[in-house]
Amino acid sequence: MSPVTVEAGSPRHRALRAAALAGAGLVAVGLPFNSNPVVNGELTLVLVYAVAALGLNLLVGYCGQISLGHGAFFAIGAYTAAVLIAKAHVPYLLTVPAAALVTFVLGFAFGVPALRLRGLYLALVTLALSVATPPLIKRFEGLTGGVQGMAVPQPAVPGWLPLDPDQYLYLLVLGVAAALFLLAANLTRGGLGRALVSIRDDERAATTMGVDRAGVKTRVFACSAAYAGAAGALFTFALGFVAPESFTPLLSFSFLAAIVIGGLGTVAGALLGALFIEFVPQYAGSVNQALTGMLYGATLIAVMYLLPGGAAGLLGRVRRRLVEVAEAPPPGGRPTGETAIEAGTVSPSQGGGLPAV
Amino acid sequence: MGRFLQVVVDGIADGSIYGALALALVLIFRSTGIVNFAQGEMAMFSTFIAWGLHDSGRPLWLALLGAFVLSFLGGMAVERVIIRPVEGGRPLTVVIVTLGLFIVVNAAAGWIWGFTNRGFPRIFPSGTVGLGGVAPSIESLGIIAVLLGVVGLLWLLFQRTKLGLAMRAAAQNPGSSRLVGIRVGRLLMLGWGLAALLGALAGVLVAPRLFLDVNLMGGVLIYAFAGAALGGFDSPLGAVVGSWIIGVTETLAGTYVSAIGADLKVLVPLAIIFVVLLVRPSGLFGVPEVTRA
Amino acid sequence: MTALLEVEDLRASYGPVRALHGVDVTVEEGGVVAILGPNGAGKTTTLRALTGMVRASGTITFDGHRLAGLATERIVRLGVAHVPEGRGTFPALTVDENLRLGAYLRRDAAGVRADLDRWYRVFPRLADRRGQAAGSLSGGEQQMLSIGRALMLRPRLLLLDEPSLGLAPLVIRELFEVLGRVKREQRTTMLLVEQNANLALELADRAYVLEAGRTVLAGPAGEVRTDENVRRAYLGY
Repeated sequence: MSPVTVEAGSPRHRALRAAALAGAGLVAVGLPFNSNPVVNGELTLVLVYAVAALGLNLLVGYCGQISLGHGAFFAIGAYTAAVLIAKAHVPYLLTVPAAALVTFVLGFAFGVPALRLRGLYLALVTLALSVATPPLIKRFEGLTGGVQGMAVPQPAVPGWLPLDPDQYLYLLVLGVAAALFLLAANLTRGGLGRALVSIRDDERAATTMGVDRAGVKTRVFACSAAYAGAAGALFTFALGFVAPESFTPLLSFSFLAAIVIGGLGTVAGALLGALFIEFVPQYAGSVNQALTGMLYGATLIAVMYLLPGGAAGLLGRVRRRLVEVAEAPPPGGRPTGETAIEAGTVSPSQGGGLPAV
Repeated sequence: MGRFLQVVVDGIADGSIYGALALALVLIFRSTGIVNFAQGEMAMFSTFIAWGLHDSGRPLWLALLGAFVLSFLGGMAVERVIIRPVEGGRPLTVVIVTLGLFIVVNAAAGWIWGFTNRGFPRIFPSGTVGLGGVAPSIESLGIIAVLLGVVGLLWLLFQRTKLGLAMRAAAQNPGSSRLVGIRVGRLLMLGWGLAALLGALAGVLVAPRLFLDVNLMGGVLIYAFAGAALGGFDSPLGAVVGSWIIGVTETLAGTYVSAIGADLKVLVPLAIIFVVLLVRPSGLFGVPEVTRA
Repeated sequence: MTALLEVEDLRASYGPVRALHGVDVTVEEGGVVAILGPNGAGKTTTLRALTGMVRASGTITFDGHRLAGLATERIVRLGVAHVPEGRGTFPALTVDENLRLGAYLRRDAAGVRADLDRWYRVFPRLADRRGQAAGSLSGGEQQMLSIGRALMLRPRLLLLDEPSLGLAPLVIRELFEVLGRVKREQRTTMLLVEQNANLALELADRAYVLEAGRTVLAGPAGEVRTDENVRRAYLGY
């Protein structure tokens, strides 16, 4: 069966995309009503991890920078929300942007010096960040509850909604996550996204074309930290409890694993990867604790060799067998292969002609 | 004063252990440009092999020798089979592969030997040596001596032998090396084997001081990274000196600064990693990279 | 007498770009062959194809061995030394270490020492700098070092890629004098790619002219030298 061809940006394309999104949305909303509270809790965590993975994806997949420290920002977000809810009685939904703001600022402060470093050194310094997190949490016992952790009241179901608590939690997190996903999709399709791709693909060329490389990288780092922080706040909602053991370096590795397995540089990849890191350890763990680790690690390695596009890449290939999205002809009918920038007629800030990814 | 010197000697001994692992990291970094996040776990695995050989009845020296040989071969195999396909690729790919390796080796060790901790036999006799007013332990002195011996041997290898020269050449300039007939691939394998051997050494030196379990080298790895970063990732001398500084600083801080208990000692190397990488990434002895702006 | 090096229908590409469209070259034992031509003609590509640095198709026969598809290290082990464009020295290693690396494949320590002494006499400036890092040498000295390094192998065939590139005229003269000595005293077979057609044709016995990946002229050096087109394009008169 040959694929159906659809022109990019055409009404048919937009309709198909809307239909796909609507379908996915229906499934997502309908899920909690068909499963038991335990599964709902797990699905909620998948959404939480997906948000964090999304942030990391912005940094790694779109910007080509490596961070082994996003668990730290996740933790900061989680504890910020926990302290605000438990001690300052701040309304739940406000704690998400609050956590995101705190981690944005910290991420920016960290990013300014750190992003001058080459890939491997950046990985190292962010690793230091994630290793430092549990001891630091334990150190500031007064604020964080130290080793024992801190219990946090979870959002209560409003009287007028006929929902169970686990269902309500899921839908609440789904709502916030969906908004954050939309925001990320917008960011990556717009000017910032194209600037990111140009940096990832060829830094020097990007600089010559006027892209403020350092500024963009720092802003992206801060954004990705903010996403991790927001996810952390949602984590606090979902679990009702924060403690240092939840925020070990392994968490940072898991986020990285999630986006690699899910598919770098794709928004869907964050979700697919989060599914992997939430469920695989469980099922393998029930067989054998060591087996989990070996499966995890082996999958990471295998994906890097065989499936550089991750699960999303695989799905993309399947999708392309069904629907082919053809590039619209450039305005003015220039020959393909010559972008507007090369022709000298459009400047990058107009979002003219950076090649489609 | 005597106590102070003893603490310093212990710090240098700890630093020597970190230094052995840091040397392994630097060796691999210089030859392949890769930071091997799994170096510590490979060392832990080797230590378990030594333990297993000894536990099944063999004398300690034989168990150690066997573990060293197997580590050397294992390191070569890892380079050839797992790392070779992604060498020279994007840094992210290599980072993920070595992280994946970290997880696999850690889990494999748990699978084979379980997750409970156990003791590792002493390599050096217990007791102290009286030197003036100071009484450092035999173990500390022994560890320092072993490291110095290893450093000396490595120096001889790299500076005075044809093989060492070839390894240096292959690390600096693989293309030109091929033009003199050097089999670059084989020398890379050799480098990884040597690094694994150094890691195994670090493992068996530290195991008697801590409990042997799958998390043996996690902390040591961080300290080794700090030492290598401080000294400069492309400098073997830096790896050793940097690690000594880390070891002494950590031990002094843990002993004399009450705010930093055992739990928080790890913050010392982490802070050092931060400061060094942000202020002078090339470290004390490394060659600063010239970035063409 | 079969030639030491016989290249037939050599084709090579860099990705989608075809650089060589079927080049034939023959080099007799003990002879010097020059390859001339403008930039981008494929001269360097030819040499790189010979030492396996670029993938090529066609037949390359060296001393009875088929070279096509072999790894660089193996080709070198057969006795082919290549002085690449950009010299290929090891900048962080000393002059002495660079030369010793040239002899990496040799097993006769005494012979290596004798050769080292000889080359230090031929290149006295290198002798003065033997403990210095190769990267600190001038362009001309590095070129001498590369040639010395290649000769330390006692190669059957020496490939030289644009040895005069970036060097001052006086240094180039010196360089070609040395090459002349090597030709006379060692009888080393050489294949020389050069932009400086004058000096190359003085040294060579035979010459080829490449343009756009194809051989456009081949013959004894004397004939090539007097060819109209060559004179106008490459010799300046």
